Amino acid sequence: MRHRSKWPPLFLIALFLAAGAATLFAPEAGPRGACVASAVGDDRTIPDIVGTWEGTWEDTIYMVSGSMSWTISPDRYDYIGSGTIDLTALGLGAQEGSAGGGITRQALEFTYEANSVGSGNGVLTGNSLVGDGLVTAPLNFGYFTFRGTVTSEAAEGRFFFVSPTGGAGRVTMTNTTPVESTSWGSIKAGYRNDDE
Amino acid sequence: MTSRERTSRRVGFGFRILSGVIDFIFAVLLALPLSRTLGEWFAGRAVVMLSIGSPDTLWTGPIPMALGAIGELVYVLPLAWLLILMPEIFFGAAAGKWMLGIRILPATSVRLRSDRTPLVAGFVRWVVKCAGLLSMTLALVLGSGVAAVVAFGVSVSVLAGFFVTIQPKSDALHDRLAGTTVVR
Repeated sequence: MRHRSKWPPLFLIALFLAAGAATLFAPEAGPRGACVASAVGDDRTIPDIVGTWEGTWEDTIYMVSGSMSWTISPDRYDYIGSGTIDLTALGLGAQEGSAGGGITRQALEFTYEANSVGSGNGVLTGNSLVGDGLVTAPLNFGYFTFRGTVTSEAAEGRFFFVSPTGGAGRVTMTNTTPVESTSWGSIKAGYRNDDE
Repeated sequence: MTSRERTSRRVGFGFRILSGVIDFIFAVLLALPLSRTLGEWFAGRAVVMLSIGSPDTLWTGPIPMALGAIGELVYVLPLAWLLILMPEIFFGAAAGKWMLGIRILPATSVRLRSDRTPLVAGFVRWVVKCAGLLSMTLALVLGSGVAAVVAFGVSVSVLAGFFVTIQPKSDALHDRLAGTTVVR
């Protein structure tokens, strides 16, 4: 059996120990900047978001885009949503997702997820939307934040991946079947009456 | 020449590719912890080097987007790979070669014979073999798009040089230039 130098593996071990030690002093990874904001306490009403939303997402850094669609329905005292995001440009086709949330003190707090994309959460306070998420495998794009404005007819916002080289862009959506002249409160009240 | 060197056999294409793959895997593993520290700085330099986000950048599309999303890992990878290959200078083998039981020796044939010491020959070999990685790391440090194009050209040339020159009974380009050979 030939003799093999012990130095290459020792060098390797020292290299990984040094890199690992440096990592201990590194700041914690995670979303920077705009994390999900808590609801502000003023008396702003939440727009009626029930309906079928159609629109697009566009990464303006890397010029990649696709379509999005969501259907949002009332669900007793809360709401549920389901939709698709077109990731054909990234080789993943159209991915289905789901969302759910409820109103707490003039703020609509929600979570969303899609199996092959990731998950996140957000808060809609009045017309102001803010949130964050994590794009997991297979894309592994990492953490992102988003903020925008929502009315009962349209929504637009911007997203930012936290990596310095990560993408950023905008999402624009239109409610193609808005629930006209019906406030979210009246929808909830209707469901409450049904229970009584 | 020692008796061990006399009995050694020159290593062919398959072993060398395999050792390269092993080295690359170790480089990725090293880049993972480095991505939390140096990686962020290198990703920031990549933004300058590639003009990411600038209207006139050519670095657009799904692949740059996917690479950019894990930029802290991707853009520190050349440096991690350089570090992983560095033992070849001093010990004649990096992780891949060590695991496969192969090593770099000063060439003994007339055609490849070199008057360089093993350390100098190993350094020259490392510089030639890693020219693409070295120039890419330098381009990132400088934040220079021109340097990135040069680095890409150098990387392609070195890779092409390897595949063109390596044969079962001959050495790769960087071995020929450094006066070394890889044996088992």
